[in-house]
Amino acid sequence: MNKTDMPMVTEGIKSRYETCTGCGVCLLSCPVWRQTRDVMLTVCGRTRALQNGSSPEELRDSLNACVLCGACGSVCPVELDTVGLTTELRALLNVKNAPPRSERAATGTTFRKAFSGSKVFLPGMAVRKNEQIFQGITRLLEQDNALPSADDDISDIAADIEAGVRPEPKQLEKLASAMSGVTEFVVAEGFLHRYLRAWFPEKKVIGLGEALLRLPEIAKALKPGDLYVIEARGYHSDYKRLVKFYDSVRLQAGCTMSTSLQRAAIPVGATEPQKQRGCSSRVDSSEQVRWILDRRKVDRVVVESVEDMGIFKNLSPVNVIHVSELR
Amino acid sequence: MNTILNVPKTGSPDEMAQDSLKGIPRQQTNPARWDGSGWDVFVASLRYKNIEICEKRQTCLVYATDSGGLASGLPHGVVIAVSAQQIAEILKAAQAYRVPVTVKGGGLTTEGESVAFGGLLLDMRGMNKVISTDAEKMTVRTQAGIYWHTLAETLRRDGLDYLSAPLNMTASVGGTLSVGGIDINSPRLGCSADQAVWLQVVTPTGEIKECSETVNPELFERVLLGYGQFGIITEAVLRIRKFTHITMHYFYYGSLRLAMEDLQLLVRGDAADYCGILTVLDKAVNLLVAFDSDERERAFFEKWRSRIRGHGEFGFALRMAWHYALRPWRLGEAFYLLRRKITLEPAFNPSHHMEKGKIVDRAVVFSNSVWKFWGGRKMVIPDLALSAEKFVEAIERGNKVCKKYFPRYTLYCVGIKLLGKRERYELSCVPPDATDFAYGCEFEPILGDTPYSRDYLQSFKNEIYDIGVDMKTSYYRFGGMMKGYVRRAFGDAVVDKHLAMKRAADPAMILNPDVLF
Repeated sequence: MNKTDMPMVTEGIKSRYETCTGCGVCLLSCPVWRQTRDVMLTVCGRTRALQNGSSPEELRDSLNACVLCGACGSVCPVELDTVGLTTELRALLNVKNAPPRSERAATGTTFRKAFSGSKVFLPGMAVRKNEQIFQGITRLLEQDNALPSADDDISDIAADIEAGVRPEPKQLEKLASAMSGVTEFVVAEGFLHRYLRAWFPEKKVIGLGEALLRLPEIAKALKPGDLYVIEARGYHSDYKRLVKFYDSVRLQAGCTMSTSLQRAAIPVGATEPQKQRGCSSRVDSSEQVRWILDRRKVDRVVVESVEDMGIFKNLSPVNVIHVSELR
Repeated sequence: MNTILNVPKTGSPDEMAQDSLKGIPRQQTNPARWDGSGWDVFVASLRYKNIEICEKRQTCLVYATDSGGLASGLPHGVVIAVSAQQIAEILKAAQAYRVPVTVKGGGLTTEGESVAFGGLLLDMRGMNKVISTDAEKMTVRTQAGIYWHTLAETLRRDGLDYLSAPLNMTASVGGTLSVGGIDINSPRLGCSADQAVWLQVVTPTGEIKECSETVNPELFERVLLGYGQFGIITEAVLRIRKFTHITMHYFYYGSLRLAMEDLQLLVRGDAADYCGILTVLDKAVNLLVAFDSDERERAFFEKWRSRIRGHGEFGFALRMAWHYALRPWRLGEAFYLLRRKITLEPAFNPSHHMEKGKIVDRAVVFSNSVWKFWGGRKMVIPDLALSAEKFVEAIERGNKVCKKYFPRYTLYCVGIKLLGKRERYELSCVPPDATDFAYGCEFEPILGDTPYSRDYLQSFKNEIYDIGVDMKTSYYRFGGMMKGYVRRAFGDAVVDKHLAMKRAADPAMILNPDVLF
C-alpha cells in the first residue's frame, strides 16, 4: 500500500529534539559548522536551544542556514533524524507564510499518465538540463531496464519540502498513481530518496551513482588514482547500507572517496537548491570542494552529482567527469 | 536489593537539589548567577572595539549546560573566539569591569566547569585552524579551539596523526591541554598535555605570551593542566607521529583485580602500544591491547601473552556459562552481559572502519561508540586518579560504591606515563605520590531512562570522591560542582599556594571563576 497520505511529521518534533544528548559529533561533519564555527547555526545548537526553552521562531535563521545534506544524522550516536527535524521545523514556521499552491506549482509535476516500466529513472532538473549527460545516463540505465520518466519530474516537490512546504496530498496521489507499476526508483536528486522511501515503502529507491556503479563496465573503469565524489544527500539518507556499498567500491577500485573520517560524505552541491530558493547560503560550495581536494593526490575526479561537476571543474587541477562518463 | 529505591519519582531531573555535599555550602555545587553589574559598559567597550558579542536569548540557551547535563547556568552573552588579539581585548575589559569570563571548548565537562553562571561565555571553537605542519620535526601548530577530530582529519591528508587525545573527539585541543587528556595509548605516550611543546597564551590580564619549556617556563607549567585558571591557550605546537592502522585484541576476566594487575604488568613492561580496561559491571572485565605494528604485536604474543591471565572470547564464554548455570537466580544479569556484548562488539569493529583486520580511525570508532553506548543527556562520571600502589584497592572500593548505587555501570581504567616531576602536575589529575606512571579509573553508571535525582547522583559522586580523600589521591574531574573536594584532597598548603598565584595572575578573579577556587 502506498503511503502518499502519510503526514510528514511521523513523531512529535519535541520527542525528536529531546533525544539529542548534545554530544556534538554531528558538528564534525556539518558544512555549516565547518565554515562558520557558529554552533547556533547547526542542528546541535538548535536542539540545545529548544531543549532549554527556545522557540522555533527564534531559530529561523539557524533553520534556514541548514543545507539538509544529512551528514549530521548519519553519524548521530542516537540516530536522530536531523533532516526530518529540520524540515518539520521549517514547515512549522512556513505554515502561515506559504504562497498559494497555484502560484508555486505552475510548472513542474504533472504526472499525466502512468509510467509503463518497472524501473524508473527520475533525473531531476539538473540532469535534464545537461543533454549530453542525460543521454549518456539513459543509455547506460537502459541496460538495466531502467527508463527515464517522460516529461514528469518531482523536483518541485523536493524544492517545496526543502523550503518547508508540505506537498499537497493530491499531488502525491497523482505521483502514486503514475508510479503504481514501478518497483524501483533510480533517483538523481538525493534529497528525494528519504521521502520516496517513506511514501513507497514497498519500492526500492537507489541513487544514480549506485545504479551506475552496479554496472560492471562502470565499476571496472574506476581506477586507483580516482577521487570519487559521492552525492551527499542520497548517501546520508540510507547511510547504514550505503557506507558499506561505497566502501566495497573503494576497496575494489583502490580509489579514494569524498568522505570524512567518520565516513560521512563531504557535501558540495547540496547547497545549491538552497541558493535557488533565495536564501543566503552560509556554505560556500567552492570552499567545500577545496577541502575535498586539499592535499589529495588524484589523477581524476569522478562526480555523481551534475550540480557538483561545474564547481569541481572550476577548481580541480585534474580532469573532472561524471560517473556516467567513466570508461 | 533494589539499589534505586531512593530515587524520587516526581519532579524534573534538573530540579535543584538541597545541599548534597556534606559540610560544603550549596553554591559549591551550582554557583549563584553573577549579578550583571558592569555588564552593559563591558559590552559597550567591546563593541567599540568591533568585537562581536551575542546577547540573544536563544544563543545563550545553547550554552546552558555541559555534557554532564546537571549544571545549569546562563551567560549574559557569548563571543566566538577569532584571534588572540580579540581575546586579549576581552580579558582587559573583563578585568576593568570585573566581568566573569568562562571559556568553553568542546564543553565535555561533566561538573559544570564550562558552564557560565552569568558573565561572558567565550566559545573557543571559533579558533579552529591548523596553522602549519612540520613533517621533519614531527610537530603541528594549531589554533587551540580545534577539535581533535578536525586536527586528525587535517593531519591525515599528510599521513600523520596526533600522539594521544581523549577518546571523545569533540574535545578541543585547548580544553584538553588544560586538564590532561587521557587516551588508551597514554601508558606509552603520556597524557595529551605532555604532547605540547609550545603555547600561545592570553593571560587573565590580556597579555599575549608565548611559552615553552625554555621560554616563560613558569607560565607553561601553570597553563598546562591548569584548569583554565592562568590563561587561555590560543595556539599550541604539539608533537605528532605517522598515522597507523591498529590491531586490537581483547582479553576477558571475571575478576577485576586480576585484570588490573595485568594492566599494570603490561603498562610497566611497555608491552602494548595501547591498553586499557573496559568493563560491563565487574562481571565481564575486558582488557584491551592494541598495536601500531605487526612487530609489536608479535613481541606481545611471544613475551607477554602467557603472563597475563585473561581468557579468549570462547574460553570466557564457557566460564561464564558455567558460572551462571550454577547461579540460575542471576540469569537476568547473564542476559544483560550477553546483550551488551552482542550490541557492543559490532560497534567496535565496524566493517567500514576495518582494513585487513586492522582498525582504521580507531578514535572515530571509539568516540562514536562511547556516545552511543554510554552517552546521555545526563551523565555522571566520577573518577579516581591514583599511584600504582593505590590503584587496585581504590578501584575495588569504587566498584563497591557503583554496585551500591546502580544496577548497571562501566569502569574504564588506563595507565598514564609521567614525565617525571613537573610543576604542572601539582594540583592536577596527577596524584602527588605517583612516579613513572599514574592510573585512572572512571566510574560510569548507565542511567538509562531512570529519573535519578541530582541528590542521588551527587551522593554517588561524593562516595567515590571520599575514597580519594581517604586515600590521599587525586581526581581527573575535581572542578565545578566537585570543587569542594579540592582542599580536602590536596590540603590547604597546596591550594593556598595556587590561589595566591591565581590572585597575582588574575587580580579581579574573572577567568573561569567557578571552576577551582
